[in-house]
Amino acid sequence: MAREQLQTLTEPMYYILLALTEECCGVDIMERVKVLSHGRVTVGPGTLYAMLAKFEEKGIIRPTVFTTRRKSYIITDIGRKELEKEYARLKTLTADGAFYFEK
Amino acid sequence: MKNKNRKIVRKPFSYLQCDDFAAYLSDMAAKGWHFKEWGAGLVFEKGEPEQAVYAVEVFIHGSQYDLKPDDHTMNFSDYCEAAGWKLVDAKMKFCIFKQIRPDAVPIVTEQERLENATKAYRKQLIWQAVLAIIWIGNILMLFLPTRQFIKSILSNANLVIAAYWVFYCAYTIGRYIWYCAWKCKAKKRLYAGETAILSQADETLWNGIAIAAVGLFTIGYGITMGLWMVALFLGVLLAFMVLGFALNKLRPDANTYLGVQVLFSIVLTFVIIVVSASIASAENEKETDWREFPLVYEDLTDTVGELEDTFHTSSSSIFGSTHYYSLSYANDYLIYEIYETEHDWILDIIWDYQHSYARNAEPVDCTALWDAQSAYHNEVVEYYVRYDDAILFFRLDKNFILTEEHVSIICDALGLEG
Repeated sequence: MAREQLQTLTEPMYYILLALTEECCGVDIMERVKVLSHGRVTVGPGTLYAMLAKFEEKGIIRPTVFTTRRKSYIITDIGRKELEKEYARLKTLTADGAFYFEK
Repeated sequence: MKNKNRKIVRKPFSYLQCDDFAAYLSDMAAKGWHFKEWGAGLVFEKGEPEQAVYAVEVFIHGSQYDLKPDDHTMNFSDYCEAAGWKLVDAKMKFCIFKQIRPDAVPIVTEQERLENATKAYRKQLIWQAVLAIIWIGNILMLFLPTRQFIKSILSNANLVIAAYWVFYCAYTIGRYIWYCAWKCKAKKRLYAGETAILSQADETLWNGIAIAAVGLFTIGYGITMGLWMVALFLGVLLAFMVLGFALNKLRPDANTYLGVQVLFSIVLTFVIIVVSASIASAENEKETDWREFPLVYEDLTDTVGELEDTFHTSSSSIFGSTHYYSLSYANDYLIYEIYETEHDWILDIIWDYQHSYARNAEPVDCTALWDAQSAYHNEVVEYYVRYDDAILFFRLDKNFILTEEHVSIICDALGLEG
């Protein structure tokens, strides 16, 4: 499940936010995550539903189209900063690892 | 006419049994019975035997009062359908899905399933616990040395209620401990990499205990209060069952369901109060025949005004009994109350309470007059008399001073050892 304070993002969280850098219907996010991760990460519909609700509550994403049955989302500026922060963190991690593994 | 292609099964599953539930639906499908919907129970329709895979999930955004899928649930079902699961039906926080694609992605992770189920289950337990806390307060009130304690300890009906309160609190604590133990085991199984975590939570024993306790309480209360109370209780139970059946059949939305329940409860409470009060009043009327009072003012003096009002109430329990008599005349009155018990500790509490009640007035010792263990009276002529196995509270008009002869008449009439 999503880590409480979003200090770091879990893999599914990271890819969901990546998917939402472009406006996307909630239902289609699962497929986009699969494509973005080259089939490595799959997000269950229940997990996705709960995460979208949490992201929306925290202002990380916002709905663009909102009908009774369908909702589309896009990442907000706050969300983008979170994602950039995570990307920078992951880059630091790989750079630090490279020092040992790519000598 | 009975439809052979359709059957309704009343089989309760809790949120902690989602995997058992799904396995049960798959077993039924393998026998040719396919889950169709919720009605007065689980509705199955006859068809070809099929190796169907079901997923029963706790939809945390659902409401406990949902009897049918609402907009949120339908929106959730769209996500699930895209992942290979078709929603068959939903009720409360339960959602039942049938796998429609072999490559269907699990709806949630095992850890999320455990979290969702325990969260929903805990919410149910919390309401039970809130009620238990209120009742613990009531039990404490019963055992404080006040008039309520005297009323409770010397009334079998109140003792039955107190026993039920104690049981309910113990039951709630027991059930919570059971739930915590189950959760610990489930977590261990989860970390061990097992699947189908939401199982092994058979609540048959707990449900059996609850039903047996309500049954025993009804019988106990019926014995102490009279058969009308059993009839009233069964009537209420039947009314709730009929309402539950009708609502489950009609499946209104959550707001209507909640509204109907609240309205029904208010109306029923009103009916219970009115019926109980009128029956109790009729019974009281029967008991308040002053000619059967053991002592009246005429037994003590010839100059008595016209009798205007009388009142009598009594109760008894396994610990003893209490009788209260009150007679109002044109210019005088006579009130006496007797507590009889073989238990000194009960008499001590009653005596201390009565003593504190009369402490403001100046007590005059009259132990010798009553030939009692202890006795005193105050200036408003209230007599407090304690014997080995009884306490008498006697109050009459302030101008009337009791003599030895009066005391002898009173003790003879009330069966006190003077």
